[in-house]
Amino acid sequence: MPDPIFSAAVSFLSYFGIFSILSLSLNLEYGFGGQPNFGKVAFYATGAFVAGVVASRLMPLIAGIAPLDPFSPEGTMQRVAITQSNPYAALLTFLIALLLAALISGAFGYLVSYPAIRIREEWFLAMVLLVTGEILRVVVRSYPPIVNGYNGVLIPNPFRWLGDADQVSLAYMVLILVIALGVYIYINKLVNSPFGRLLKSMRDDQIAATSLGKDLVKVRGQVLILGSALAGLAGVLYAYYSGYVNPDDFIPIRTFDVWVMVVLGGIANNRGVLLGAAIMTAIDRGTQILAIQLQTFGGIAELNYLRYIIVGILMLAILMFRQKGILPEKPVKTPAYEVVKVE
Amino acid sequence: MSEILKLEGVVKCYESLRAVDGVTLSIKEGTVTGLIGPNGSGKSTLFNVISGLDRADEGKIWFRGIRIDNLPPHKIFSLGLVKSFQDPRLFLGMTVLDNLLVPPKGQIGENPLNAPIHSRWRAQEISLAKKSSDLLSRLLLKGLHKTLSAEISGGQMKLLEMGRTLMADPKMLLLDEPTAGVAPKLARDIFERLLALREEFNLTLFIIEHRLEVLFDYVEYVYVMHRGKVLAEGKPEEILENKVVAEVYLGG
Repeated sequence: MPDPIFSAAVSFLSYFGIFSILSLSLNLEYGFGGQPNFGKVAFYATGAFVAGVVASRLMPLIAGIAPLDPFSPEGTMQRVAITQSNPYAALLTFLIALLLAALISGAFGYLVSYPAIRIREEWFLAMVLLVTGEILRVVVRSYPPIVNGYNGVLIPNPFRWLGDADQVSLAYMVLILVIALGVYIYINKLVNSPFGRLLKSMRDDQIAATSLGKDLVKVRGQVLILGSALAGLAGVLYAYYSGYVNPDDFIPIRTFDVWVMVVLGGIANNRGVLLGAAIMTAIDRGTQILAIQLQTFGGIAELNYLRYIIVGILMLAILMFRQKGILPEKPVKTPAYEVVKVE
Repeated sequence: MSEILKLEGVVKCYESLRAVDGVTLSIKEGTVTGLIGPNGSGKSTLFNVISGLDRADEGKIWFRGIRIDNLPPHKIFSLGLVKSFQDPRLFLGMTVLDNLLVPPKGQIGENPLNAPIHSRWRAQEISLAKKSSDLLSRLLLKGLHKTLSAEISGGQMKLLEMGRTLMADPKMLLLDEPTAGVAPKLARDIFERLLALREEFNLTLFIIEHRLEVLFDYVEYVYVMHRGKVLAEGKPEEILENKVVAEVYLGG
């Protein structure tokens, strides 16, 4: 018997982990590096599509079974059967999807930003990336060979062999949180370093940074590769969480949800960004669950819109009263501060 | 003394305006040279062209014998030619100490592959921090290292900007109005400190300055620009006596 509090908690924590990775990666790009990535969703989607392709094509091969048509009911059943009986194939496929998604999303991020990062005005980059996200979604939804077009493709949870549905979602939630924690630790180490200083100098004054010998085209490329690769990881995690890869999940608003998390929690403060992700997840899940609950009692109001209203009010409040976010930025933490002391 | 910087027929146009119009000059190593001229005479543009922020349309520039007119700014910087800005362009979201730690060349931890592994760059970071600490006390910024650079006074910003250029181990500094907007007393202080630092770091200085009464006490040679061209050059006392210069610049 499913316990509603248990499933709500698992759903909250799973989404929180995925959103954390996305918002930490945007914080790296925008909060630290000042690069306005308006196309976060493109790399999130790339990760999900990679997961869809790998799970539907590669998994039967890893399991040593002749693959059936991946988009037919038989192909779907074959995948489910493999994940139910073959933990090795299920987990290895998942791992390969993660690695490939990071590689492909990172490369894709570099490729699409290649012309724009050569222009000093960073809003070109913002527009290019915004458009990239929509083009990618439209192409993938209209071109069935990738993930069956707008019909999408079903990918079973890599822990399906555990049997019990609660155990499967719990195990997967733990995996998401472990990966998110790893990303948090990695990004914290990455930015509390001379590289973090370099990013902030680019953000604060590009001309001064250039005249102090910084090759900003290179740095922009590096930060977009890293940010996109991390968004790709989040995409894989989301695809396996929802069990279904559907191009129409990746609409532009997904990008701006991530922006709200960063601006709300604290630009260039990783802990703040986690807080922002937690608040947004709570609003997202809370209104969703409430809407479903009310629906069962013969819906009196469309609660999905409540989410947009709450987010709008929050954004206004933050921009009016606390522009730096809930937790403001801190200095780059390096051993230099232990050497230079007051007096 | 050998020549450190040489310009030959440098031209920079903005549409129909010839902001820099055939400038030829040469600066000897270890000297302090002034660059003066009325507003809009092309001084700042010339500095931007030399440092690579703007591309020259015509002409050649050599720094320590190397052609630099086709090099990107970060390459010119790495040869040891560093420019400061007229209005301090500090990294305002960063602390005073972090501002000083941006410029040093060859920082291992600036590579994102090395950055997360702190042991790879820790030793270098500590030695740079020691150097910063030393500069902070000499630039009267001691105790401010944790303060955001947006929150210090205008004079302190000037000093910090100067410190930032020195952290890069420059051979030559292009200083665009190092005393603009500071009190007269501090203006002399800044020049005194500059000259002291020149001795110690063996610097060549090229300075745009409007406060001629201060500048002429410290420089060895002066170039005067007018409408993009070099109108006159010489020792400060020669420039003061130059009738043409007095007419266009000093107002007769």
